[in-house]
Order: sequence, then C-alpha cells, then structure tokens
Amino acid sequence: MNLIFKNKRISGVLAVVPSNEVCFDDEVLNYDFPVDTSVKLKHIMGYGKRRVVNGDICSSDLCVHGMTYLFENGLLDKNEIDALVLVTQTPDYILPPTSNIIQGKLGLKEDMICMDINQGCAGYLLGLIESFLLLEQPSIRKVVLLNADVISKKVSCQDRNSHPLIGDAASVTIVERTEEDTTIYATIKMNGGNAFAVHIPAGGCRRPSSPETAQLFADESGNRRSLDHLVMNGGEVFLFVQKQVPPMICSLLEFAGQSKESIDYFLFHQPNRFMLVKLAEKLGIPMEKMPCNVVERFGNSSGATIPVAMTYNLGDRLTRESLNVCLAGFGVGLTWASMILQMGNMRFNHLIEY
Amino acid sequence: MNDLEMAAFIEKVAEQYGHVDTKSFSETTRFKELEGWSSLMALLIISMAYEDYNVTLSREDIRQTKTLFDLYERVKNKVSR
Repeated sequence: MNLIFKNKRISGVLAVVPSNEVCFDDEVLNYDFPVDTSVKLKHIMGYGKRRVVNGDICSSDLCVHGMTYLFENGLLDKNEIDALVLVTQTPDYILPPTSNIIQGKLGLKEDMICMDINQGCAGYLLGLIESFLLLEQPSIRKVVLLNADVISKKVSCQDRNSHPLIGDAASVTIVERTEEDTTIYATIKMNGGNAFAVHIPAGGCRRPSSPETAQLFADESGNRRSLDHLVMNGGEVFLFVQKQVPPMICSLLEFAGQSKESIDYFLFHQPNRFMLVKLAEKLGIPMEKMPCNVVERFGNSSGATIPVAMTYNLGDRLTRESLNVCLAGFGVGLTWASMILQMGNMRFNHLIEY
Repeated sequence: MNDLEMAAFIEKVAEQYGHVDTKSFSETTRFKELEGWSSLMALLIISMAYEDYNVTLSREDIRQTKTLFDLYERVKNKVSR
C-alpha cells in the first residue's frame, strides 16, 4: 500500500544503547563452533560487539533515560508532547501499555495520547506512519515516537542462530508538522500467513509461560532453547527479504518519481551484514550508501536498528545539511515497509548510552 | 539442467565452503558431513540457489537431502517447475 504524507518532518533522533557490551570472541566458546565457522560467521554475518541490558532493565527504562536526557539538555519540552507512540515487542507488562507507564514516570501532561504498537523489524516505519497520521489532527503538533526492545531477554544463550547477533536499544524520534512544502513517500505490506517465521511460542494467552515452557530442548541443529524464547526460521526469513525488499524499493522509487541515484543513504533495518550486502547487490546500490555496521558494533535490536544506523553513521551531519534518505524495515509479522524522505536541519541526531 | 550444469552446480556449492579444495567435491559428496558444515552453510546454499537458479530451497529440502546429487535433483526439479 502506497502512502503520502505532506508537511511533516523528523526534527530529532536520539538512540539509546546499553553501556554493557559483550563480544562474540568472548562468547564463542558457549556455542561450540569450530574455529573456522566462527571466523566465517564474523566475516559474513558481521558478528562482533553487541549491546545488551544487564539485570532488570526494561524497554521503559531505556526510553525514560533518553527522554530525560532530552529534557535536561533543552532539546525537548515535555509540555509540547501531544502524543507518545511506543513501538515494542518487549513491553514491561502485558498491561498497562508501557507508553502510559513512561508518561507517568516522566510526568507528562494528561491531555495527550499514549499508544503501544507491537511490531518488530519494520516497527520504526510503522511508528513513523502512525505518527504522521496523528499529526493530521490539529490538536496534535508534536509526536514523540519511541522504538525500544530488550529482545536479548527473549533469546536463549544457547541458540547459535540468534544469540550472537541480538542487541538491545531504544530510540526517541521527534515528529512534527512543518510549514515547508515536504512530501514523504511510503509503502507497506504485510503477510500474516507467514506470521510464525519469527515468533515466541509461549508467554501470551495462547500458551502462558509455565515450568514446561521454560524447559530447554535441542533443535535439529543442536541449538537449545525453550518455548519462552524467540525462534527464527533463518532461511525462510532470508528468502522473504530477498524476494520482497528489492521490488518494494523499486516500486517506492517509482511512486516517488525518484531514481536510485537521487538517494543519498539507504538506512535499512540491520538484521546482519550478509542480508544487507545481498540486498545492496540485488538493488545495485554501492555499499557506501547502505551502512551495514550496526550488527557488528551494537547488535540487531529489531526496529531500533534504523535510528541506531542513522545516529551512528550520519550523526551531526543531519543537523547541518539535508539528505535524501530511503528507510526500510522488514521482518516479524511478516511486515515490510519503506519510506523516502528528506532529512536534515534536525535539532539533534546522536547516540547515547544508558 | 544437464550434466554439464551439474558440474557447475557442484562447483557453486563447493565455493560456499570456501577454504576446502573444490575438486574433492562430487555428486556423491555428503555435503552435511563435510568439515565446516553448519546452519550458516545451509543459509549460503539457500542464498546461492535463489541467486543463481531463482529456486527457493526450504529447510526441509536441506534436511531431506544427503548427497550433492540429491541437492542438485531438488534444484533441478524446482527449476523445471
């Protein structure tokens, strides 16, 4: 589905990563990989260092930390926030919504909307789409979009498929209206028929967590996880991305009346280096235009990898100049979405630690 | 695909194993019993089949095949479909 948004802009992006860093080299013994395989994995998938929360730090903690930082540094006025949209798959509780908890912790005004959205790798895109839609209301002038996940809590440390690449992160994105004549082009598709390609079997109402669901078992490749853990069919997800994402980007470019060459940066969700290299090859995009360094420096934190890639790779540049950017997210759902927008003259665009 | 293409297919699989001598690969090679076999290799083979043959191999295809000939047959059947 193609979407158009007029007179909207992103005026600031802050990424928050845990200060706790773990290295693939230190963990490699846990996985029982032959040395050759781990060297190959590092090289092909981009395994390196990743950031994961320690102890009981939750999604709301990372968000509150980021927003408090913005308040204290005069980059955001708490009274101006008319809507708080939180995209997460790891809420603090099943209920209440984590966005309400954050509103309460920060003492935001009552006259506002708080909303949780459950989406993963494409969540940043869906969050932006929702934020733009909210801004159609005259009463809503500024939306704070939060995208946070502490997915490391849901991945088995004996799962070689997922554990070496997973990271935790949050982001705070300020979305508002602008007098400038801007047009943002977006496209989004979903395939719930393949919803279980990436999922956590237990812990919801369908199968509540119990001592049985916490039992570790080995899959055919020798990965040990429980029903409470995230499970991903890597091959299926890979093929889904390679089949769906390149045509999506081509059709979005056509919809926007723009060429590949007119895009300064392709800031895509960062599943692993391998998938991004394959996407760049298929799309005929030079790697300089498609950063793929988030997994090796921070880990894959689901939807938040896009703001992490944005702040880490472009940083202050976006406060000084304006760039034509193509964003794309794909994964859990299955959901795939992309967006072309002019980004720049932002108040802030950087990364802090929790 | 004909026999010639089978040689090309085996070479493409062998390339995925990287450091291993590709000439030691044949249609009777049990590719999952080779040194260096891992789920990463499965992904690389799935990726190669999609890129070079436009064929979608599933986890089942990998699970149910033993030799490179078995794998070649899977790919060939899917190409002709």
